[in-house]
Amino acid sequence: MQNSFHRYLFGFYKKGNMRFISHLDLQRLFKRCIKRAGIVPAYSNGFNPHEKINIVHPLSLGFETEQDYFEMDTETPYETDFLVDRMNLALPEGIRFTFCREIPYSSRNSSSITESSLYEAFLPASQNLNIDGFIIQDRVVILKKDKKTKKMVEKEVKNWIGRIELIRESEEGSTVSMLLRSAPNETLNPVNLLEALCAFSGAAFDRESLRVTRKDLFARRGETLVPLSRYYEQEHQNG
Amino acid sequence: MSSVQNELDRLLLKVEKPARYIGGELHSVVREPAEGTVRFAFCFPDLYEIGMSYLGLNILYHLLNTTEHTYCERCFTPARDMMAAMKDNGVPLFTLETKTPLKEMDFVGFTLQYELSYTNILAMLDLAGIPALSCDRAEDDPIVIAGGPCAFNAEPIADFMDVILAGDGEELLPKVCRIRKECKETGRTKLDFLKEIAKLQGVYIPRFYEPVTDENGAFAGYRKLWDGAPDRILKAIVHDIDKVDFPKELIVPLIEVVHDRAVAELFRGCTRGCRFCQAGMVYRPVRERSEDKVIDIAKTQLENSGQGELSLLSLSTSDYTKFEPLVTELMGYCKDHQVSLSLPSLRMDNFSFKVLDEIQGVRKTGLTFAAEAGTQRLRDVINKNVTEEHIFTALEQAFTLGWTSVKLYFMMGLPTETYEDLDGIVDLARRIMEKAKEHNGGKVGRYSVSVSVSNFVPKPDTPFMWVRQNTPEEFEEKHYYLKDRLRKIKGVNFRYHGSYASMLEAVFARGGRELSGALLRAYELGAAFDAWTEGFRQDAWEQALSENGIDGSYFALNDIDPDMPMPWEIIDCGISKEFFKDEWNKAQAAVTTPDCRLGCNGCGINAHTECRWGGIYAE
Repeated sequence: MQNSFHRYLFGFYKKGNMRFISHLDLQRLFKRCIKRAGIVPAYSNGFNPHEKINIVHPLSLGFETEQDYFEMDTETPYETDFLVDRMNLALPEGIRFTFCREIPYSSRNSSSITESSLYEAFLPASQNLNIDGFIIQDRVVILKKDKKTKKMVEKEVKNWIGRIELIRESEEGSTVSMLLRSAPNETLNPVNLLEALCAFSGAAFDRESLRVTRKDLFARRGETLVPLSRYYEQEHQNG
Repeated sequence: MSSVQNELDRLLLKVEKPARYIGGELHSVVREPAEGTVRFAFCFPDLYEIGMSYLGLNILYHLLNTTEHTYCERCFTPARDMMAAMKDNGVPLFTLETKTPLKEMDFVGFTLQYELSYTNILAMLDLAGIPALSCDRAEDDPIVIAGGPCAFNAEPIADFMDVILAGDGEELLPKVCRIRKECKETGRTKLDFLKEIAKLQGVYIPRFYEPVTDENGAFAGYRKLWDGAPDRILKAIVHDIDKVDFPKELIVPLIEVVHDRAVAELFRGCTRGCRFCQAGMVYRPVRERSEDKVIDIAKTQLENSGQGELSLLSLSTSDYTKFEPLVTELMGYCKDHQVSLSLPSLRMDNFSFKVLDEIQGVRKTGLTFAAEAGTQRLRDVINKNVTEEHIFTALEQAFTLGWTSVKLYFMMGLPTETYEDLDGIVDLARRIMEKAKEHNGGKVGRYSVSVSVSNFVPKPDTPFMWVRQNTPEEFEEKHYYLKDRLRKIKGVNFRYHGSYASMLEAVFARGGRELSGALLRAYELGAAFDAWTEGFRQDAWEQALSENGIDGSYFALNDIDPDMPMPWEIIDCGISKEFFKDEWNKAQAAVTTPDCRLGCNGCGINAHTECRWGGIYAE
């Protein structure tokens, strides 16, 4: 393994119409952004070298995020302020890098230590949600589309729910906060969970008017979950 | 932003690829237009991914947005799911930049890239709530304007257009916008405006002309309905393309589009004189952009966009006078900046191979030969000056350098074609495969030859404009003939196009205004995206043509007497009819015409502008 790489962790938000930009398109956008900024990333070896970058835990199409994360490896060191400023110069409105920090280089990226996502959802049509009743069930079952067969299948997800609570309820609808476990290759989609919650509560559910925002991603440090933005900070302090 | 945005928020969660409809790309121009601004919606009648790959859009977008008091925004045909969602929710078609309904624009401008996009124009007008027919529009409706290659015979859509622009738009379109502003400010009517711009070279106002027919009902020319209109409309010509501004900031799509890259145009026009090629005729004379300009454009675009690919565009890239120094310079730059260079329509000579080997490295994509016809005789007929010797010399080199996949493009149903010419295609594919095997110890291995056949469509303003097209049955028979023979050769695969759609293309390439009723009806019956095999509604078209008493074969399948008047002759592409006739006669005798750079062939374009590159290599 080469030790000469530098790894930078960026925070970014993605709001408004940019929620319709998919994970793959966002990757392409960041690659162009790096090139335009004149930053030289590290490239993988092989016949078809590609930039060594990573977007931590891809966000579903249609969701906004207040704090998602992006990693980039370089061979030469950069000032982190310079990186944020340069990268922000030519981004479309709705996407911005919020900070950048150099983190220890490792063969494992931050996706592998990230284990929870915090979401907030506004459900305009839904009232009187029975969250307590929903969550104390022995089995919490959602319906999700099977990727291969495209059929709706049931899935038990109780272990994937860290916390779910009502933040506000008004005539306009309900706002729900959810801390959900996520893994690099499997996540619990909050929309499916909310659909099950509404069905359980006998409340209306309108998938198309639902607004979902990811608030942050979390990694585990001992007993506690810390936002990824602070994870490495603590590591430095401790180490 | 407008109320459209609120509605959109709901719709976009329902449809596929919602990012097609959001705008907000880097280098797109979002403005709060000042009072009195002329607002132009540049409409590409196909999906976002297709339209955003079209260079002309970026050129005109840039020019209009740097013209004072003018604001140009974009609009594409929504996919069928979005069309339905918009209709169900009463959302009118809007511009991507400010989400303004098209109906509020001063101009709604369509680019006419292919005949089979016409139903999409009707779909867009319908979604916008703008009456389809020019005569039904009110004074405050937008002016519907169109330009592009199909403007050289826009008669089938003339009833839908207020203005048609023929030729190069870079200088003409901003001028038209300026005159619109003046007319608005002085309170002049739409008709006043149309009369004003009718004086400009390249402007055709269909409502000032009425087609007349002879006693047999055949087209017999036009009657002018306003004396001030010109008898014929000479295309607009940019005399020096170095003097028109070329965009250094292309809009960078947020989603993957067909061609997502930095692009510099090397030259306009072509000197090769292929007899089937409309672009090679109507965009004469050849006009090169200077080497310095091209390099500056390419580098600045790459810096501004962060794109990973650069493409040099023209009808025949290797013909560029300074090709070698230009490519050598750009190749070095691209290598240093991790950018891949793409050079479409290359001639396969030694230098090209050196370049391709360098830019493709170990990842070699297919090698493409547009042979167009299977025998030398037929290639002479169409004036495609590629010989088998060229092809095999090139292949020898290609296989030695490590290429394993070869693509061959042919046209089927060319004038004078016989089954011997089809045998020539099979023979060529077989011999290429044999050559490949020689390089691979007698085995096919990973070598492949793909044969793609398109159906010949006679196009206006070409020496073949008078020739009948093959019937769909003839095409199909030929496809089967080839399929039967090619599938016996290991490593060869075969692709061909639908023949009914090709006939439709010929109908709209050569037809006149009598087609507008059928076009409207086909759209009502559900036809749209006709250029897409998927979802092509042949039944709708058959019904629409027959209900309107249109016999498609009349337009597509008849030989035409060159002395008969033709609907498209209202537009003068600058090439003389004598030249076309002469070329047609030479074609029938299988006599070739040399490249214009070797000496002037007398096409007549120099009566209208200076042809600076004609004859530059003359002895």
